[in-house]
Amino acid sequence: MIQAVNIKKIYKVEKVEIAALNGISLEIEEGEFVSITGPSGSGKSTLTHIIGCLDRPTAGRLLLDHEEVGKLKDNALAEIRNSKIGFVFQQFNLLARSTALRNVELPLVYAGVSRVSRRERAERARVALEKVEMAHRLYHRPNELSGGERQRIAIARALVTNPSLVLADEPTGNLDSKTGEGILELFQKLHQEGHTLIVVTHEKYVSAYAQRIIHLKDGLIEQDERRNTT
Amino acid sequence: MKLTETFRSALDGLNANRRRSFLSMLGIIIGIAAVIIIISITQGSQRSISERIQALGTNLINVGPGRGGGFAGMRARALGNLFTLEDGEKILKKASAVKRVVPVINTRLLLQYQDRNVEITVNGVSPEYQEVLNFWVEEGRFIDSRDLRSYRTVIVLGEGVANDLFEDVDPLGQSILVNGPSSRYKFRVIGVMQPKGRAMFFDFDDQAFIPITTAQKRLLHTRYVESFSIQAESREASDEAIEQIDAILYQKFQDDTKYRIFSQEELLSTMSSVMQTFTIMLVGIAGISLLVGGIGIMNTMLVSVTERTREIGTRMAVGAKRSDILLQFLWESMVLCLVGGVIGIVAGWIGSTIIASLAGWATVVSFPAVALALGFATVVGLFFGIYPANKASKLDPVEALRYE
Repeated sequence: MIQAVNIKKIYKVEKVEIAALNGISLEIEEGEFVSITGPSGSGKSTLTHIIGCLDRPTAGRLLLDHEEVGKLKDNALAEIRNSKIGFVFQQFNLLARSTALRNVELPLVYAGVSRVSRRERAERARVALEKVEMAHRLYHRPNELSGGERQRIAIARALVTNPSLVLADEPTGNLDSKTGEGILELFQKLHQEGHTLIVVTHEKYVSAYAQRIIHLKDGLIEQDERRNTT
Repeated sequence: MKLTETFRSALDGLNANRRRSFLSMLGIIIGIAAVIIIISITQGSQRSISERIQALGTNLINVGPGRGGGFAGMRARALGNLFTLEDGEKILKKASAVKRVVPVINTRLLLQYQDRNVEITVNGVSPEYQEVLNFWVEEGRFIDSRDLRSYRTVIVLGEGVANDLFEDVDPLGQSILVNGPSSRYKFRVIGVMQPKGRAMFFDFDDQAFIPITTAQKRLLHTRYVESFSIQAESREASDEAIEQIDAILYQKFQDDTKYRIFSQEELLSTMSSVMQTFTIMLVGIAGISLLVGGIGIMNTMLVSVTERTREIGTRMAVGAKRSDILLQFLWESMVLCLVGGVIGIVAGWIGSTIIASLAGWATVVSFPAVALALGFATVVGLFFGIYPANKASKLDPVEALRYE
């Protein structure tokens, strides 16, 4: 569960203060499929980074599973990113020279001393790859795969630690619409399995898959729309 | 996260850019190979020099005329009349740390056998010469005390001289002509020395030996001797022997510039201190090349960090701590330097073996040299890896993920 209370983010560029977020409050329950939309410059990337613990808010509080994370140190944030959050990027961001399996293992590698043995790590990566229907591509490298397949591997990497939240930033931005729909259907499937998903996008057809659409403008929530999807 | 995991990430990174990794390693390879070759050459030559000096005899002390006024003065004194046989006997009797004393006169003379002749150094010596110089007769016999007493015209030839004069003929018992400054004598060959080779600039096999009394009375008509080769009781007694000899000679001459006493020990320590200075200088130069190699590694690492900014961002996003990133890049530069170091050691070992076989001495690739080289490579890797690794670990994850 995510609780954001009056979150502000102000960037300082050569003594000029630029407000990216002007006080955002929201709650996202476990198991929700939320889409954050808005025009570029509306603050959706900044909000994603803050929710994803890649960045800290200038003011306001952020609670992840009832734990205050807004003021944590770098190392603690890294641990939270590792255990509670799975990222999916527009550019996939896979390690180019590593196999699919190794790429998916990566978060487990950083999961602390001997918490996960090597064999268990490979097993969990395999399970995650099966979930995204990529079990037949374990030993392929990213350059041997199509865009959609790469994104599936990236999603497996996000899922492998069983995070509380999967954060996808324009996950279909680099894909053609047909492949993109395949990815979105996968998200829908994950949602049905109970994963909490946040998908940031500026494309309408993407947000159509979500159960809740939060529309940002000028660093504020303009609209928070819940609806029933089939 | 385990060290081995950061290490594995580092290997992945290096493997991805094999050619660049190798090129930046080259500086380290050359530097380390240079260190190994230089150390093994200096140690090898030092060993061969000290072996040869030691081959000159055991616990050897030389007493000669003092040097005054350069070469002309030296020559004048050398020919001048300074020591007598009695001085030698006095030293042997009074200096308790002295074991043997050999009086020596040497002069260059022309030796003839039939139509062959050679001009060589002929040494007038006493029978103890063999023990003192550790230089033994191989065929026939050496000069003995009866030869000395009756000024016999007998001669022992060095191996090289014997070969030059006689070739296939057995020299023992043959007569050869020795041309003195004012007269010529017929000498009988009674022995041939063992081959001993060169030491420094002196060829042992290219000389001959006659009784010192024969040299004095028959050839040079003098009652003086040129120098003494003295053997101390033991190596430890060397210093004491030198003091005793000095006291005896000072008593006679009342002037310590007239004579000169020098021991093999001194020669050895002078030699080794010269070699040491030389080694330090050369290793310093090799060190500079290692430094340059290290800068090359740093440059490669900086390029690599910039190139892989997104990868760093991704790793951070999936939970890499700053220390994980730091370690990964530190490992990369360490592995570059250590692998370069090992290749350098192998290259240096091969190089010094080749040089040794060309120069004809025993090269020793010593354990300390290898340890020094590896240690140096590690330090270079750490030192030049810290800056790029630190730069990588300080990246802001959001910025790094956005980097194009």
